[in-house]
Amino acid sequence: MSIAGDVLPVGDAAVLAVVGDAIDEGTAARVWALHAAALQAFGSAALDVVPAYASVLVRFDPAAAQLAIAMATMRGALEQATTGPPAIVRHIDIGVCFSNEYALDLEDVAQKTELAPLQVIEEFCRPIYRVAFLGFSAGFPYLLGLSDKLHLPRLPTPRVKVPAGSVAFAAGQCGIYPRNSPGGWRVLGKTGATIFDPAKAEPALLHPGDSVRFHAVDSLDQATAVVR
Amino acid sequence: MSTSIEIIDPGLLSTVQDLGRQRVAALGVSPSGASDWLSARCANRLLGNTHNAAVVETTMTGIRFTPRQTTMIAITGADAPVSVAGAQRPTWQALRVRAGVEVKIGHAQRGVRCYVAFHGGIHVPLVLGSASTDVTAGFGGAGRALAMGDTLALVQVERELPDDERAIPASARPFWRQPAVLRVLPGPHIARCAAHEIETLCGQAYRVSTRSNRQGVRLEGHALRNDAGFDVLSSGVCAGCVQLTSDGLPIVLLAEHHTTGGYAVPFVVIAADIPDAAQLRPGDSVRFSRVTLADASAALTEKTQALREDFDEPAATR
Repeated sequence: MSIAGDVLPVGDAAVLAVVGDAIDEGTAARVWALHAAALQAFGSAALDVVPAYASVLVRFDPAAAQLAIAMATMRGALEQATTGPPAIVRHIDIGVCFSNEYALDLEDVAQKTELAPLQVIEEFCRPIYRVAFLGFSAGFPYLLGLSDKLHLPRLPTPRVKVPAGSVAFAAGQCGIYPRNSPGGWRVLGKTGATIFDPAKAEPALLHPGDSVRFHAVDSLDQATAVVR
Repeated sequence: MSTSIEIIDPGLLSTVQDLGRQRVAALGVSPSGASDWLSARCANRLLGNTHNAAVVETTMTGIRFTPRQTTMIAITGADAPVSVAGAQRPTWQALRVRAGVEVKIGHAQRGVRCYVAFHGGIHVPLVLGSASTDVTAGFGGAGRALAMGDTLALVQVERELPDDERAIPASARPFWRQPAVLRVLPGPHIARCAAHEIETLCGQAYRVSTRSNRQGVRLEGHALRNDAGFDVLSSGVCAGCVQLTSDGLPIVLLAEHHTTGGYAVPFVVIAADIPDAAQLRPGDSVRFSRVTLADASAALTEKTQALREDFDEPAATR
């Protein structure tokens, strides 16, 4: 079945297809389907196909292709895209250490949500998350499924350095920082799993559509990832 | 014997760059690559290198280096004094450099980034298909910014060193004007801006902030005020996107941009003018000018003319 969406110009070297305006699994499923269809439709003409929560951007060489043709190709991809249950869903279990040295915002989150710290951890580990897309920085997964009880805005002042492996959430979103970087999300704990390694044939641990569960472990060396 | 280059002083920030990574933005990996892609390509063109050969990109304060073997180099990009073994030499020209002498690029007078191409190109292991240094992510090129004492190997090529010191004609080099003008086309969120806001964006000269870097050029000036703000649901972005930040001021994204962004993009700088954006320095004055797609296409043809004319086809170097 085809997907409804707007195709918008991005200067002379990219086009953007928007298929919704929500952060949810239904929208993400349309994005995953359009991503696959756009790869097919553009072939080698696409220098990059970039999915996000509710859109797909295609970058091309303006010396080799014209915007009007790229927009028509993207409309064709919307026509061709088929949504439906994915053939294979990978499940990844990720251990997280919630001890004080890594749980930079746990106390504060507990206070703001009027939950005990242990309840925050329980609430955080309860859902089965889905990876919506990778963005912001290399391998950074945006996860869908955060509990309603953990809806807090971003930190008023972002941290200059969020440690690599930090598991964090804010504004209805959830993710894992692959490496030390600035960031404004609320850090609950840390995993020792390698989230991104550019030297590997599969550099990113997580891919759009994957399902993810977090579980609490006692120490960082137990905080690994298992792909099932 | 293979040729190598020793870095004596890397200046403020010098990195190995080619034309960037492709088809990995879906992994959250920035394209990176030469910020001013046109100058990088011109430097390679002067030496008969492939257009994607790896070069050194310098920032503001130049660089000092010494080739261990005699080689050819070409320096393009920002307007900066160049000396070889203490004698002043021109930019935008192929230069023969003898083994052991020092090449020095001084402080840029106009523009920010110089590009140094070497005969054959720099040899570094490719990461995700590219030689480019992603400074933020910490991979590619030398794995980081170049440091004093670093040695760069060059790609070994069969062809002889050319003996002509050919130049790119002055008419094809950047002309520096103030205020600089960046030509723009509509971005995906142009409908989020009211007519008077678009007028504010295009009607004023902005000042380039000191907080600019390889990720983007931050501009200061009269801020747009919008009660609804300019935040959007994060979506894919590319170099040239003009993002409106929460404070109502624009950022022009450059090569090492994040792959997705949550700020509205009312305009996008045309591909032909991204090199100009990459050469804006703190304190420079710049304004946006709306053009048509036909203008953008003609501008790209015009600016890349030096890459097509006069020269022989480059031999394969890798």
